Formats: sequence, structure tokens, C-alpha cells
Amino acid sequence: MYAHATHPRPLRFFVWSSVFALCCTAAQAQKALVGEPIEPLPDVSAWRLDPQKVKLGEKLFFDARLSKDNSVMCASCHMATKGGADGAKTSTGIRGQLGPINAPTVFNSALNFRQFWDGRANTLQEQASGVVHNPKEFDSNWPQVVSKLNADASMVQAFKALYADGISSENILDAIATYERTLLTPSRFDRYLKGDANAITADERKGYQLFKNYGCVACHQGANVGGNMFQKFGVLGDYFGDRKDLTEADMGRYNVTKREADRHMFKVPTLRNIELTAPYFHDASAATLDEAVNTMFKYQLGRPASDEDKKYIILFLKSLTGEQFERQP
Amino acid sequence: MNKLLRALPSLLVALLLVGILAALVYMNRSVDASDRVQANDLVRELKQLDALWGLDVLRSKNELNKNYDPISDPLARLREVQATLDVLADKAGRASMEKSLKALQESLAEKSDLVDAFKAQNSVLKNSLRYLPTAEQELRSLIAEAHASGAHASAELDALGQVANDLLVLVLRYNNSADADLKGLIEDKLNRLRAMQPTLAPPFADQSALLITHAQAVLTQKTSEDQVLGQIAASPSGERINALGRAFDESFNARLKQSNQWRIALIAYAAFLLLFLMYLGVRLFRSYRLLHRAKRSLEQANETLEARVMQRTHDLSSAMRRLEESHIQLVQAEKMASLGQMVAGVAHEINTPLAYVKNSLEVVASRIPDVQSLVQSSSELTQQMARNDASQEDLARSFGQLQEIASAFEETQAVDELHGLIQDGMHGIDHISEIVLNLKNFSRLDRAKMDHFNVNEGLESTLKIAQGTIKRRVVHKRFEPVPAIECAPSQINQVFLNLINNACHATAEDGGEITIATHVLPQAAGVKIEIADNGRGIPLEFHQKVFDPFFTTKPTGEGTGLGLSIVQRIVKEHGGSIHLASRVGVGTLFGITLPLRQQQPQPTGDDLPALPPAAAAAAPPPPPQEQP
Repeated sequence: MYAHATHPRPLRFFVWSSVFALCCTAAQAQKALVGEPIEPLPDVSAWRLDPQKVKLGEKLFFDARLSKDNSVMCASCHMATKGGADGAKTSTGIRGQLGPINAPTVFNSALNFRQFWDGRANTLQEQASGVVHNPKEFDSNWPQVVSKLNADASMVQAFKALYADGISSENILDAIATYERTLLTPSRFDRYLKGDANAITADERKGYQLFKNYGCVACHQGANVGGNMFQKFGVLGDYFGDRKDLTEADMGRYNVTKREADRHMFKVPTLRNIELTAPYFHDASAATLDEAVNTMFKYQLGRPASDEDKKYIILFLKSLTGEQFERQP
Repeated sequence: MNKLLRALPSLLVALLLVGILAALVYMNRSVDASDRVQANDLVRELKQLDALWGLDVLRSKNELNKNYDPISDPLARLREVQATLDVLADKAGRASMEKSLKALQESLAEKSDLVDAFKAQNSVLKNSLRYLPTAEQELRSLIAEAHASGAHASAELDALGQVANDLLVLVLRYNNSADADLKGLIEDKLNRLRAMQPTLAPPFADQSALLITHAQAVLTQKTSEDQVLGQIAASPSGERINALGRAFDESFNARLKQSNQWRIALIAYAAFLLLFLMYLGVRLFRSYRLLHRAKRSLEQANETLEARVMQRTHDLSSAMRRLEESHIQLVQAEKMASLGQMVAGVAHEINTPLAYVKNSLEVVASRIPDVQSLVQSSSELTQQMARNDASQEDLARSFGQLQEIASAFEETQAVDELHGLIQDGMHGIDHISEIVLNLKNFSRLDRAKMDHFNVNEGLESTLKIAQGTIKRRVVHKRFEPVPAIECAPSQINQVFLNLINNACHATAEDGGEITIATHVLPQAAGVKIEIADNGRGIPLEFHQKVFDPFFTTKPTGEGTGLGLSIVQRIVKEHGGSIHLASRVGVGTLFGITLPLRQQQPQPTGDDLPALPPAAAAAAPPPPPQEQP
């Protein structure tokens, strides 16, 4: 499986670098936290992504030609300045149409086990393709997009250089997905998990402890602090009964499987960069983190918590913000 | 185009043969051992993934896995492997693979849903299980507080505490072993708690409500979790992966079998093609050999032909040489014959004057004794007279003798006769010298070979030379004054002589008439000479032949047959032309035109030397002709 396995020199390099890495890991072993339900982000470089494809994918991410009237691009709803989402309750697609659901962040989305709130896309490619075809989002189709890009000599050249068959839907999606895989946001908390005890404050540490103790971590776990399971919104309380005015989007995964058990089932979202991606929940019902945490305690944990504890938890949640965003202000 | 049409059938056959070969090769190619290896590897990996996945679910259930990544992450790889297997199934034969592939996909999708359900339940279960003791603890604390503050309904609170505690114990026990009896007991406790609720004070009611919620949650989630886990454990995915592996095996084996058949077909076909090629090769070889043989015989024929041509050429050239030699000899003979004729003529011509010169001299010689006696008599008289001693008698006798002789002389006019005889002799000698002069003129040996020449004069000279031949035949001369032409006079004279001789030979000595005419050609381009006779004429069939060498109508030995051919050649070499008009019994006319000036290099004169005069007859013959 390893491309370099057939070449003696890279293999030797690999072996030695592995030995080196092992030694380093051994030295750090006493520091790195073991058995935590949250794991640090993987190293993107280990995925050996083609930097040219990443570059092309980034270009396409910002290319409005993917939409029917060249008015919307991926970046329209997934802005780096808004934590990889758009800050709106629901996103505005083509011709000013409002979408039915709150846009999830693109950051760390490569770690999600499925895409979209209802998990209807298995891969990043399927997700992007879904957006291109959605009449409320890009309202386009691949022949249209491919022909538009084919009219651009620089695009044709860029694709030709990377893909034998030039511009095609598969290749466009592959480039975009490759780019999206690079959008990981290591945080101070990751450094903490890796053994840097001082990477987060004592309050944040306390928040993390409460996060675990209250059981938030039962769903928001793994490398992406969520994103690897479905959970019923209102599992311990009747959220939708209290909220009223159900929409189709509120049916969650039921829309995909049509199984009664999947009613109101949603993909547990990542909590990384949660500080930046208000409003919260698929229906953007929580404008602030406080509200969101309250809702979670009420309907998901089904237990009370002190305001102080919630405050600590929120402090912890903010430590999950990617360090590249923390430096900005 | 035609060639193409003719080659079309063979081209089509060749294309067909190659097409069949390509098809067979393709049929063989479609089975790839690496596909089978890859399919095997993937099936094995799938099996491992699936087994590990199930194991990780159990580990998650037992909280050995601290998060759900281990049971979520395999999804991507599972999908990839399935997609690759789907592609491989196409190669292995979609029809036989479809069922087991679908079955596996279904079971894996089902399992995936079960795992998703497990995660949702397990997370809630874990939380509720963790929270239940806390909730119960808090309830008990509330009750203790109430007791401490001397609450009114302590019995009821004690019962609440007891039920809550029982519930907690039962739920925890149920979590360890979920059996129906425990479930019944828990539901019993839950019902009691719910029954107590309306009468409880708010903090107790709220807290016990939490207890109810979470106990209920554990009960529900645990039940369905066990169910889900059971379903996961019972998932036929592993079996179906095995079935898929078997299906791949079978399909590949079938393919292999089919491919073996195709390979046999290919081998057979290749053998057939090879035989066909060999057949073609043999045919090609044969035709090549045939061709080679034909070529060799052709080469041989060529070689012998060359030899034969060389032989023939050699023969021809030697014949030619002999012909040339004989031609030269014949020309020489003709020359000698002409010479002979001319010499005969000239001899005759000279003979006549010579005869009367001789006669005159004989007569003169016969008179010499008379002259001698006259001279003697006169001499005796003079001597007697001079001596003075001579008698008168003697004197008188001598005088008388002298007188007698002198008178005899006078009587016979002897002196006049002698004078006449000498005159005659002189005339004969003059005649002879004239003939010699004409001979010289004719041959022109004393002059340059190319000269300006008046054909009239030439004709006159020739006529003189030919006098011996002409004899009594009448010659009409109709000469126009003509300009001198540029030519080799001796050769032209030979032409004239030959034609005049021919005319003589064609006519009888008596009554034969020869007409010779000369004209000036229009614009003074040259001269025309016509020599006609009233002889027997030449039959029409001989008109073309008369100029051929060796053609003659004369009896053998009289003519060489070269005369006219020589004439024609001389005329042509001078750039002139000769033509003939003749009618049997009427006569023959030869017309010759000669240009005024010569344009080409003149005939050297070596080709056909002029008829040599008698004086040159002894000279060595001219060198042989170099050109045929």
C-alpha cells in the first residue's frame, strides 16, 4: 500500500524516521494523556496529500462557476472568518434562496463519519456534489460546471497537469475534497492532550472535567469532538414538542432512512471551533453558547447543572478553537 | 484501382483472420490473475475489518474504547473495499456476483445502521448509568435534609428513599444481566415512584422525576442495546463476506475454465494460422523457385543469346569484311574493266593515226634510195668539177646522170610527195597527242581533286574517250551554256563515261542514237545532265534494282553490276540526285542533277578513285574504304 515500499531509499528513510518518531513518542509517553475520550487531531502531512491538488481544490472552493449563475461558491457558506460556517441561521443559496438548515463548519469535516446533519452523504465528495445539485444551493449540474471550467484555459491546464482525464466531476470533487482534508484546526486543547499540561488553563481543564462528568463527552468524543455518530435531538426531553413548528429538516435522519427510529436523529456535530460557529443546532435555535449548553443539558443530558459548571464547560469549549483563529484577535 | 479491387478479397480475409486472432487474444486477456489476487485480498481485508468492527463495538460497550472513532472509522475503508470489489465483480462476471455482492452490501449497511443505533443508545445508557447513583444520592440528601429540618411526612420520604435505592440497585443489576424478572421488578418500582410523585413536594418530585427518567432510559436503552448488540453479533456480514469470497472463487474459476477453453481455441487458431502461413510460405517458396528457374533460364538464354549475337556479329562482320574485300576487288575489277574498255578505245583511236604515220614513213623510207642516188650523183659531179682533171666525158656523164635523176625527181614530184608524207605523219602525231590530251583531261590527274568544272567540257572529253565504244552510233549533243560547278571532275567524268557506255551497250551499233543534254536548274541552283538512248529499255521491275550493286543484265563476264551503283554513290556524295525513266523497246533516260556548290565536306576522292588513265594503271590500288 505504501508507494515508497518499492523504493529502497525512501523505505530506509521511512524506517529510520519511524524509529526516531517512536523514540520521541516514548520520551513523551509520560506526558501524553492516555485513554481520553477526545483525541488530538491527526497530522495532515501523514495523509500525503498532493499539494497541487490541494491548491486546485482551494481554487475551486472559491470558484462561483460551480453554481448555476456564478453567484455562489463553497466559500459563500464556509467562511474561514466564521469558523468554516456562515454565521447565519440558515445559509443563503442561489438567487437569494434561504436553505432549510444551519450550515455546519467545513473545518475538520474530513473527520466526520458522514456529512450533512442527516448524514446523507458518505464522503466529502458526495457532500460537495449534493450542494452543486441542490436547487436552493448551487442549482447546477456537472455537465454545466465542466463545460464552464473547460472554457477556462488555465483551469484546463491545471486539471491536465494533475488528472489524466482533465476536467470531470470526479476530478473536481477529488480536488475539493483533497483541499477540505487539509482544513484541520489544531487547538490548544490538542496540545494539552499531547502532553502539554499548560496548553490550557486550570479553568479550562476544570471545564473539560465537567464536560466528561456531565456526560457531554458521551456523544462529543473522538478526534473531532463529535461527528462520528447520530443522536436523537431530545433524547431525554421532548425538544421538538417544546419548540413546535416542525419543519422537514427537523425530521433528521428519518428523511434519509424513513425509519421511525431515526426520527429527529442528527449527526452529533463537532465542537471544535464551536466558539466561532454560532448560531447553534441544525435549526440555529441557540444564538449563544450559553443557550446551546442549556439546551443540551435539558434535552440531551436530562439533568440540571449549575451555572458555574456551565461556565467552566464553555471555557473548555473555547479551548477547542483552532489556534490559527485565536491568533487573529 | 483495379489492382486494389483485386487485392480486396485477400485483404478482407487477412483482416478477418487478424480480427479473429485479436478477439481470441482479448477473450484470453479478460481473465487477470491479479484481479483474483486482489479480490481475495480485499475479501480477506473486509472480513478482518468486519470482525474488528464487531469486536470494537463490544469494546465500546465495555468502555474499553473511550470514544466511538474505532467503530466509525472503519466505515470509510469498508465503503472503499466494497466499491473496489464491485469493480472487480464486473471483471469476474457481474451476473454470478450480483446476488452475493448485494447481500453483503445489505448486511453491511444494516450493520452500519445497527452500529449507529448502538452508539446513540450506548452514549445515553452510559450517561444515565453514571448519573443514576448521583441522582439517587441527591434524593437521599434531600430526604436527609428534610429529616434534619423535621419534615412532616417523613414516612413517605423514607419510602421514597427506599424505592429510589431499590430502583438504583435493580437498575445496576439489570445493567449487568438484563433479565425479564429484573425488568419487571424495575418497572414495578418505577410505577411506585410515579404513583408517589403527585403527593411529593417539588424538590422531591423533581429529583425523583430525574431518577425515573434515567432509570427508564437505562431500561429502554439497555434493552434495545442488548437487542442491537445481539443483532450485530448475529449479523450475517461475516458469512456473506465468505459467500462473496466463494462467489469470487467460483466466478474466477468459471472464468478460468472459460479462459482455458479460449486459450485452447487460441492455440488451435494459432496453430491453424501457423499452418496457413506455412502453406502460404510453401506456395511462396514454390512460386519463388519457379520464378528463380525462369529467371535462370532467361539469364542463360540471355547469355547464349549474347554469345549467339556475338557469333552472328562476328560472322556478319567477317562476311561484311569479305564482302568489303570482294566489293573492293569488284570495284577494282570494274575499274580494270573500264580501264580495259578505255584502253581498247584509246588503242583503237591511236592505232588509226599511227597506221598512216607508219605508211607515210614507209613511203618516205622507200624514197630514200632515190634521194641517196641524187645526192651521190650531185656529189660526184661537184668532185669532178673541182678536180679539173676529170674528163669532159666523165663530166658530161655525171651531169647527165644528175640531170636524169633530178628530172626523175621532178617528174615524179617526189619532193612534194615526201613533203606530203611528212605532213601526213605530222598530222597523225598531232591526232595522237590530242587523244592523250583528252585522256589527261578526262582523268584530270594533273589537277586538284575538287575543282570548278564545266560539265559540257567534261562530256566532250568523255565522248572522245568513249569514241571506241560509240563507234558508229549517232550522238546528239544539246548542250546549254552551263556554269561551272564545284565537284570532283574525275568522278563526274566517270559517271558520264559509265552512262555513255551503258547507252552504247543498250543500243545497236547501227541506228543507235545517244542524246546528251545539259540544262541549268532554276535559279541557277545547279545543272542537270540527261543521257538518253533509244535502246531496249529497262523493264519496270528492274527500275529500283538497277542501282543495286552487282545487279546486271549483261551476260556473265561482261559487266560487274557495279557501274550504276558507283554512279549513284558519286552523285549522292556530291549532293545531287539521279533518276531513271525507261520504257522497254523505246529507250532509257538517266537524269542527273548536281548542285552548283558543295555544302558538306567534299568526298575525299579516296572513296572512289577516278578511273585511272592508262599511264596510272600500273600505280598501286587505292587504300580500302574505311566505311561500309
